[in-house]
Parts: sequence; C-alpha cells; structure tokens
Amino acid sequence: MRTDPDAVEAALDSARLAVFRHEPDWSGGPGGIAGDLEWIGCRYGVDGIDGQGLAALLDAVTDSDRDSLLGLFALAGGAVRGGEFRLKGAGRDIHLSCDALVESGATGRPLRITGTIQDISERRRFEETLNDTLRAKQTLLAIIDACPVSISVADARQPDVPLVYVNRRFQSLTGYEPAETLGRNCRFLQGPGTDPETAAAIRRAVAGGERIDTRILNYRKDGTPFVNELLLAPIRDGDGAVTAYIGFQSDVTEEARREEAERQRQRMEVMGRMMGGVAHEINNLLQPITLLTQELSDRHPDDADAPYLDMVLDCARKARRIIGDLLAFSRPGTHMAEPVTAGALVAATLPLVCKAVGPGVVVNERTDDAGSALVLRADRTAFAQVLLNLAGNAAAAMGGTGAIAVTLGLEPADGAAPRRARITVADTGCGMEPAVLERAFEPFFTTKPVGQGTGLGLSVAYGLVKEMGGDIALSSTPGAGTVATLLLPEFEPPATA
Amino acid sequence: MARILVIEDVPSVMFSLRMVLEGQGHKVATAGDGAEGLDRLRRDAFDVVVTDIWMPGKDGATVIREGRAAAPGTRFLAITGGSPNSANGASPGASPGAGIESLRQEDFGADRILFKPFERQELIGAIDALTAGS
Ligand SMILES: Cc1cc2nc3c(=O)[nH]c(=O)nc-3n(C[C@H](O)[C@H](O)[C@H](O)COP(=O)(O)O)c2cc1C
Ligand SMILES: Nc1ncnc2c1ncn2[C@@H]1O[C@H](COP(=O)(O)OP(=O)(O)OP(=O)(O)O)[C@@H](O)[C@H]1O
Ligand SMILES: [Mg+2]
Repeated sequence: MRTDPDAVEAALDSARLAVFRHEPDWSGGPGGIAGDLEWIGCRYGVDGIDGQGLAALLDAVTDSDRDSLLGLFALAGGAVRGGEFRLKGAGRDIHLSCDALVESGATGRPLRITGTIQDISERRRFEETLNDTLRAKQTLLAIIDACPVSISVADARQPDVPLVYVNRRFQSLTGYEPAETLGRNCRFLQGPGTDPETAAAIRRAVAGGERIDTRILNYRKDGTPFVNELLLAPIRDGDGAVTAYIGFQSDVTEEARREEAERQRQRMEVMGRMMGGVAHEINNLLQPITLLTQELSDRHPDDADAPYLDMVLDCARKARRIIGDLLAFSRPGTHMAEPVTAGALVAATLPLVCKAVGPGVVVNERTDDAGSALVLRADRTAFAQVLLNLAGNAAAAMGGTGAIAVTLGLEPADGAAPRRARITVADTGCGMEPAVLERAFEPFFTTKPVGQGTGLGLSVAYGLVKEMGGDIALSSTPGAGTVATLLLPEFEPPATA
Repeated sequence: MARILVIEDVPSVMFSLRMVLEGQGHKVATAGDGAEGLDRLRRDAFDVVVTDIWMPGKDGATVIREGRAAAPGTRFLAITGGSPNSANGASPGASPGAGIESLRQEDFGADRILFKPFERQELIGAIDALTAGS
C-alpha cells in the first residue's frame, strides 16, 4: 500500500504533531546537546518553533521543565523515552508531550534520536477544569458529610424510596453504618413505640411529593429510643417531577422530656387553682357549721342531744383537714425553689399522693426528726411531681392494692457531699428484672401496654431531682418489690458579708 | 363589751359570727362589702373590725389600710378562707407565686388573723386579746 505524503502531513498537522530527528554531537561535551535537530516534514503544528533547531526548542521551554526535555537527549537512559514540558507562551503555556526512540551507537552513546512532539495543551486544560469541578464537588460532599446536622437523601424514582446517601451525623445519631442503611427505606429506624399515625402522615406526604416537619419516635441500632424531629423536603427536576427526598433528623429527646415535665406541672397548677377555688367555697360553708354548732353546744350544755352536735363538729373538723391538705401542696407560679424543711415538703405532698394512688393502696409514712428538720431548697410542685410519679409506679407495680412505705431520714455529710435528706418510696410489687431496671429511667421506656404509660414518669422525675441538685436511684428484686431513693442536699444559705 | 364591726360578703358566715359575738355580749354592726364597711367605720366608732379578706369590690387588705387611716384607735382582725381563684389564698393584691407559707406570714396589715374555718373559742380569744387593756 502506498502512503500519500500530503495526506500524512495533513493528518499530522491537524493532530498538532511534529516529528523530529536529532543526531547528537558528542564532541562538544557530554551534554550531547550540540548537534542539529531536524524537523521531518514541512508543517509541524508546534506553534512558534516550526523549522527551528534544538537550541531554539531549549530556549522556548519553561525553566522548570527544561530538565524534562534534556532527559530525552541525555547520554544515559533507555531506548524509549518520553516526557512532557511546557513552552513559554505569551498567554497560556503550550503543553507538549514528547515520545522518542533512541538508537545507540557502538560506544553505547545515543547516535540518533527520533521522536514526536504533540501539542496537548487543550487536553491538559480540559483535564484541569474537570479536576476543578471534581474537587469542588468533593469539597461540597465533605462539607455535607461533616455537617453537625443529620442529613439523608432518598431516591424517589426507585420503588419504596430507598436511601442513597447519609452523612456522618446520621451515622452517629442512629448508630447505623452507611452500608447498613443505603438501599433501604428509612423506616428501619421505627419501632414498637412509634406512633403509626405519624408514620402514616409521612407516607402520605412522601406519596404526594409534599414537605413534612414532624416528630417521630425512633430507635438507634442499639435499641435506645430517641425523639426524632424529622424534616422531609422533596427535590424536583427541571420539569417539576420529584426525583429525590432530603431528610434532616435531629434528636430532641431532652426537649420532649422537658415539655412533658412542663405539661405535668401545668396540669398540677390548674388542679391547684381549681382546688383553691373549691377550698374557698368549702371553708365558707364550714365556718357557720363550726361556729353555730359550737354556739348551740355552748347554749345547751346539758342537752341530751349534745352528742349529735359533737358529731357534726367532728365531721366539720375532718372536712377542714382534708381541705387544708389539698391546699398545702398546690401553689401557683412557675418553678420557684425556696428554702423549706424536708418534713414540711413531704407532709405537704403526702395527702396528694394518698389520693392519687387510689383507694386500694395505703401509704405508710415514717419520718425521723433529724431528716424532717433538714432545710432543703426545692420547688414544692416539682417535688410533688417526683413523689407522685414514684408512687404511681409503686401502685401500678402492686396492681392497685397494697402498701407503699414512704420514709424520710438524714443522710450524714460524706466527704465533699453535704448533709442530705434521704427519701424512699418502697413497694411490694412485681419488681424489675435487671434488664428493665437498667432502662427504667430512659424516656419512653415502659413495660405498660400502649396507651397506659408514656414511659416518661421516671425520666421526668430524674430531670426534676437533678434540677434540685439531688440524686435518684432504684433498687429492685423481681417478685419482691422496688425501692426508689431520693437524696436531696441541705440548703446552705449564701454567706452574708 | 366591745363595739365590733363585721365585714363579710357571705351571709351565713356573717350570721354565725354575729351569733357568737352577740352571745358574748358584744355590740355588733355588719357590712356586706368593703365599701359599706369603710362607710360605717367613718361614721361610728368601733373597738374592733372583723373583716373577710377576699371580697368582691374592695378587698380586706384595702379595708384595713384605709380603715386605719380613718380610725386610728380601732384594731383589725382579718379572717380568710383563701381566694376563689388561686391556691395560695393570698389577698388579690399579693404577689403572684406567693405560697401557702407566705400566706401564713402575710398579715394583710391586720393585728390578728384567723383562717377559716376557725373555732368559736379562737374567735372569742382573738377578740379578747384585741380588746384587752382598752
Ligand atoms: C429522605 C428520607 C428520610 C427519612 N428519615 C426518616 C427517619 O429518620 N425516621 C423515620 O422514622 N422515618 C424516616 N423517613 C420516613 C420513612 O422512610 C417512611 O417514608 C415512613 O415510615 C412512611 O412510610 P411507611 O408508612 O411505608 O413506613 C424518611 C423518609 C425519607 C424519604
Ligand atoms: N416501682 C416499680 N416497680 C416495678 N417496675 C417499675 C417500677 N417503677 C418503674 N418500673 C418500670 O419502669 C418502667 C418505666 O417507668 P416510668 O415511670 O418511666 O414509665 P411508666 O410508668 O411506664 O409510664 P408513665 O409513668 O408515663 O405512666 C415501667 O414501665 C416499669 O416497667
Ligand atoms: Mg410511671
């Protein structure tokens, strides 16, 4: 087959490929740079150095790349050599790639070097922009990954909307590795305590391509529950079709716990106000009953019917005590810790506890003087909440019948710990297995059937006791009963100057 | 025998107070609210004013304050059964959040205070103490 030289030349030109031959002249020194560089053909496409020799080429190369070019012509080296170097340009550098074949003579020195030089500036520029784009995208991904917010993305075009991306915070929040989550629908975070209504609302929103902001009970990989504040938003393509969903998760368990404590407190406050009103009415009814009965007794001291009047009086006095008890615990206002003796605190709360546990449960109280006299700094309502939650659990553990023992004593100072009031609530109920005991304080942990317990009782108690600077602990024997112990530190008034 | 003004908005309470006090030989005048009570106090002389604290209109603490200005020689006995719309029973003007403890401490400006429902002997004793030496 014949090759048309013009066609070859045209092809070389459009490929911006020059072909050269160099016969080094070693007489000038070991550099071998002397000697002529001969361009083969007439058009070479290498701008600026067409038709010029090796010296011109060397001059044109940027300083930093000159060694790369010299390597091609050096004394030592393989038979096949390659390198890249840039020409100093007015504007952008010209990027050249050179491949050379070295024929050695009898002395082992290069005799003739034949090679190609190609202008690869365009390719290099393209690769650089590609790199920049990739780098920018990677930076963005790294930023999203490092975000302190849990971020998840699901593909809305695949059946059942599987997760396609989760960031690092999602992993640390849920305990699941990306490999365990990608490709699955995110509902694996839900569990027995999750409200099905909430899940259904999410399902409807996702099916309709809508945004939704909700709270849902989720479980980490290790089984611990947390309240997940979930925000889901659709991502649409140019035509408005939903292609993906982005989900933000945040753990708001503490917030939920505080809100529940606040709700309980408000309920008690409303109750307190109501009882205040009732007490006012009843006191005004008891007043004439008491005074007129006593006045009648006084006016008819020897009447045979006098015992009847005594009975009326006795009833009025009992009624007065009940009203007094009710009033003692309830108090309006927000959490206000004030100095109060442990004895007064317990005494004010017990009547309420007795009423709350129901008629089948008796509450036995044992307080010692040293414990009663200890001055604490506590909010009456908060303390009542704690005792009510503990007593409620005790009553439930005994199936609504039995006795609860409440004790108050003094815990002597111990090292750095101040004197503390030790308050215990003991029941003879079902007790707890170690696995239950271990998790009892967890928010939403409950062994009660759905709808009967929120599982927040102990969690709320824990938070309130900590607020008072105290401690709360449970000990339990399965089948025998449970003792809850509160330790509340003595109030030390700030020293006055 | 003392001259006593009873200010109380609940008729049955008023009636029982009068029965006991008149039974002790005191001279008793009555008023159904604070304004009427202050009117009486400005017109006639009394040794003791027995006043309810929570009453519609002028409350007992105000009656005592204005009453003292009008009748410096008169002694005041406050009686209270708590307020109908708060658990603390403090006077309407008391700071919100005042607890039962502060109720026990708060005297509404009175010389003595009795908590409803009090007993006949407590009432008699309080009046005796307030009129002793006069
Ligand atoms: C991007 C994305 C993130 C989600 N993240 C959660 C989550 O953290 N917790 C959760 O309970 N559900 C999450 N869901 C919702 C569930 O995947 C599912 O849509 C929901 O349970 C309703 O569907 P179902 O009733 O079929 O389970 C997420 C959904 C999407 C699309
Ligand atoms: N005195 C107790 N005896 C036996 N088990 C108890 C006792 N107290 C708590 N528990 C266990 O601990 C769990 C958590 O208690 P917690 O008070 O936090 O929630 P709950 O009682 O289940 O619900 P809620 O208090 O909202 O009605 C209970 O479900 C129960 O299994
Ligand atoms: Mg409970």
